[in-house]
Amino acid sequence: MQNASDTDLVDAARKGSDLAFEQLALRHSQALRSFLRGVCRDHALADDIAQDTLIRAWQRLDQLRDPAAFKSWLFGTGWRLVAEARRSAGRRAKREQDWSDTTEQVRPEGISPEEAIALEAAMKELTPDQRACISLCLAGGWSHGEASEVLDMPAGTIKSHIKRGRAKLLAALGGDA
Amino acid sequence: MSAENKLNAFLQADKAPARDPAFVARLEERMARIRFGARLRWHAVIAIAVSAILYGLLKASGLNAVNSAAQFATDMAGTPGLALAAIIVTAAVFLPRILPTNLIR
Repeated sequence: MQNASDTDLVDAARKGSDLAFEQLALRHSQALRSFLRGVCRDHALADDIAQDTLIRAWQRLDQLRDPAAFKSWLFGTGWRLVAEARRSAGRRAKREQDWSDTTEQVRPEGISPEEAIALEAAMKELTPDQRACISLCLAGGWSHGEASEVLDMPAGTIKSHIKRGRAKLLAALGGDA
Repeated sequence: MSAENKLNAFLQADKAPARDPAFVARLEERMARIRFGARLRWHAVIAIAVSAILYGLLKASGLNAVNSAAQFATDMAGTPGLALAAIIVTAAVFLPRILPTNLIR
């Protein structure tokens, strides 16, 4: 089952195979969680949303028109759930506090604490759309076309968000855009 | 380390672990709980339907339910009514196992 294509796994899951869906979840959860972490700036909240995304995908698998596009559809579902979560401001405020308390723990090597704080602050100042584009294309390696499908934005807008977001992040490091 | 490299390192720090048994276990648990709830609702619907049918049969037989339950069972034995009740109970037990699971999700 590990070598089966997404299409085969989606078909099997639609017929009621939980094992097939779990295989799909295993295959895509790392990328999904990384994307959501980049957007939310809160690993715990992002993981909660990733869980909700996978459960919603499982329950609404029949609505997926093209089984081969499962990954894009899954990420699109996650992106919509992020928008829903943003509306619950209280929950987010608490999570952001938790995140700010744990920022130090996930500081990557080669970056000073001051630079990490500056980058985190710059990330939070970006719009959610900009963060999503940066998380998908700069961190996740998605093409502009693929990101356009997932985020339901024109490719030109994606490019623009990346350009502006990247410039702001580099400026936070004191570098040139 | 250039600013560009630092930015890349910072972005890669958001990467989730490739294997996370706790995350997978939590997902499986939620799926199992949802599946169990759906099955429970499905069985409840069948049980209510079976009860309603049996109650209808009881009323149609003209027996007093309180005083004549034993008499009713005796009277029903060997009649088409009992066979019908057996079919309904059998269906209630086995239908959820026979039907495709995605119908009762």
